[in-house]
Amino acid sequence: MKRLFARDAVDSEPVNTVAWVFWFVALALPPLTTRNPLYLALAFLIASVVYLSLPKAGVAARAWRLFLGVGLTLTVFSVAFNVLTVHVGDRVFGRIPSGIPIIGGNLTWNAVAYGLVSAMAIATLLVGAAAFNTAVRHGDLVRLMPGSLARLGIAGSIALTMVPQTVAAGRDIIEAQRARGHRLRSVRDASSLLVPLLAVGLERAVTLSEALEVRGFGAPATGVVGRGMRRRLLLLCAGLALLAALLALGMGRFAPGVAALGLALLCGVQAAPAAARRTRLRPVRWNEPSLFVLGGAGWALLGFTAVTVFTGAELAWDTFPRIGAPPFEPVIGLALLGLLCPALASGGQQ
Amino acid sequence: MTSAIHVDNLSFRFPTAAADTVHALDWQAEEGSVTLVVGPSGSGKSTFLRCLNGLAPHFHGGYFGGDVVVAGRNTRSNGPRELADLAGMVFQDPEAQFVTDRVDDEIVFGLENLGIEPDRMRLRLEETLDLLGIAALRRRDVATLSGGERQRVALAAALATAPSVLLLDEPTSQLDPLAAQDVLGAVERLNADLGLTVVIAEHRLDRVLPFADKLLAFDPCGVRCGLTREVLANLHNVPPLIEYARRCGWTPLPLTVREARKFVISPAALAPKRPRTIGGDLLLDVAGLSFRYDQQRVLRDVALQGREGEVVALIGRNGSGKTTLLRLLMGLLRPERGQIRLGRPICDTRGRPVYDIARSAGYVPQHPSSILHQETVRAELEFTARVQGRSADIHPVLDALGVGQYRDRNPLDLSGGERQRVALAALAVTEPPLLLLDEPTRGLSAAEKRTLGDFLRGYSATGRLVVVASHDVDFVAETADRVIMLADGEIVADGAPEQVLAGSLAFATQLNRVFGGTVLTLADLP
Repeated sequence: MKRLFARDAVDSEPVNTVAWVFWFVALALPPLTTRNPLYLALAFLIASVVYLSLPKAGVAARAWRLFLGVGLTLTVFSVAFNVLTVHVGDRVFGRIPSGIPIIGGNLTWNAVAYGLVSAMAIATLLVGAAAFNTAVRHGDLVRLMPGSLARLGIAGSIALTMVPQTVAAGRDIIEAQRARGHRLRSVRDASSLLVPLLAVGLERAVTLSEALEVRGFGAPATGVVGRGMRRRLLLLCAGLALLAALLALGMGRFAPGVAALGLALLCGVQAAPAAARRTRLRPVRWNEPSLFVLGGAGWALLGFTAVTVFTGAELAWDTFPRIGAPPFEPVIGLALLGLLCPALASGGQQ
Repeated sequence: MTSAIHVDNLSFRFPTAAADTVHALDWQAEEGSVTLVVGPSGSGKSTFLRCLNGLAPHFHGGYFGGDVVVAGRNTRSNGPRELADLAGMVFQDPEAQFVTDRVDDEIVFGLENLGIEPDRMRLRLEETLDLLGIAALRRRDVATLSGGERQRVALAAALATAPSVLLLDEPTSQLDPLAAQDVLGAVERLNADLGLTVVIAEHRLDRVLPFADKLLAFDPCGVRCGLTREVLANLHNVPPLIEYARRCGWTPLPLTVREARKFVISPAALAPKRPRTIGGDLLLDVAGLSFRYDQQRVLRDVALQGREGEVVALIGRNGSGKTTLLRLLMGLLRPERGQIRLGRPICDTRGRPVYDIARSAGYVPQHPSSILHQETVRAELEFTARVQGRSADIHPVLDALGVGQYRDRNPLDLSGGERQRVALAALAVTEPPLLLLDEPTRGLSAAEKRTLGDFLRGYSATGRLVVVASHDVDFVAETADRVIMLADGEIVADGAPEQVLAGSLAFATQLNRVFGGTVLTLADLP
């Protein structure tokens, strides 16, 4: 199998960014739609295998490794938080005196299970994001941002570069504060890290936004003013459709809600000033590895949604008030296995 | 000659500011001219550049008066994106402006946004790579480049769209003298060969004056503009060579070493002996220090000593190991081999926590924003005293560094140069026996550097040691008692400034290049 993921080796054939975007969207589906521990465990396992199969030589990869470590540690706290604040369930294993506010009450295995499942969902998203960011070039992602939505594109670009830059800045700040004689001993001390981190992050975000602006990111097409009556009408339609969508979803009318949301999005995109046509020095190449990954992601995406919609397979699973065995639909499991394509294609180089 | 930029009665005030940053300015730049913008930190140089490409007010908001017309386009009706094909800009910190992670991607990013056809784009990429001499870097990850390489890539990215105006905001502030020369050499070549109009804001006047046609000076008493020599004749805080030339009445004012040499008759006879401070007790003793990052060796068998009353300067090219050495001294990195002893009484740092070393040594990193987090400058200094369990009078140190007037301001509202001095004050307030500074002159004007130099000499004179890593050879020559040159992780020279700097191809001061011998600063001349 060819080597697919060498970001540093230019002449290799990397999986293109579009295929990776599809892979990440498909992977994010289970943690965003279900708390079934079996599907979540499978998705988490797949994300981990793919992440471990990727070379991690780049700066972004190293930064994400650190970010991942911090993120996964925080998920452990989310389990503890859940146990201490949710006192419902049939399997009690301890009790904190009720007089103590918030944490007082029964400690239940139900809360432990729910905390673990939630932590697994977050961990799946984190590991998936780490794999995605390790594999793709940020520059390619920025290029995928729609030019007509320049502000959104700029925000997206900043978000993409924020993690590695924040990790680097965080390291500098911790060093600087330690060198000042400051010992971080309690939560109150966090301000000495957070304030400079925020300040440095904002400064860099502003510089990057300025750089994007002066380099014509999202420049309007020649002759397009974009402030006419048509644009105002479209914006009005987008606003009304959004309102209708919120109302419908609030009333539990899923289908009309989603349709109205789609209309709002369509009107919003149409209302954005037309951007100049962007070109690419190296257009997106649909080589074999990219198609393989896209196929796997598509299979997972379609399989997961089709089975749940057409067979009525149960995604919901709750630990309250009783813990029961989670349902498992083998076809969904098979569909999710399609997400292993990046790891299979990499030929186990790690 | 037609004007490339026409500025008519320009005023600009940031949304939350009480006063105009730029006020009622009339100015124009002819096609193919080079204008040098000078002034103290916070005087409005960067804001002015941002007015020229529409970032102010379109991006930053604020109150904008007057007109700026760039190559026929008014910035009132054209924002920065609409001016992207006309005005390229390079910011102070190249790292923060990179959008992509590979050199060739970064260079073509602007071209892609402008919808240039791939064939033309490829040609433009090759031309730009050759023009800047960075063809070998084309496939490198930008994160792996040195400071000078990054700045040249940033320049290439701005030039790829073939703009008619190039705006540079302190492009050499992070570069060693050789890398700065490389970058500015490229700019000079582009100006001469392509007729590019260049507007460059820079504190290091001596680097840019040789090819600047005009000077725009943001002085506290108002803005002055005109031909370079005319404005220089009355400008405060000029480079030492210009100051000496004015003192001697040399006309026309020499802007280059070559021009100045014509006025010098007997160079060697001019150099008197410089009095040297005799060191007191040992405050720093480093022996056999080695360090490596991953597999890359950064420092090898470094040995140095520092005594009471000394200002020791570390010089060397970007990546030579200066910052790593300072971080090792502070205990922020663990040496691979060797011993570090510091403080009063001097003792081994091995096994000592950083907060304990901090009582003996204050470390001011390159980015002052890493330190500052309190509501006011005053609180910032009091915080250091509190965490170190000491009492301190904040006023003398703030006044000595020229930032006393900002004591009730939020440090993050100050300019880069002001923040730098506040960060130093926050570390020096507890008067540690050893002060370690990493590039402290970044973003400082000549006057501010003089204030800093006076402070550091005064600090060491009271029985303390100052170690400063710097690229600024004039500052080093004026301030340091001893200079240590690092190259490839090793100490290659250690001695008095006249021994290390005089005659050096890369690190000699402008005055030394003119007068030769041991002349380094104005104090060495009659």
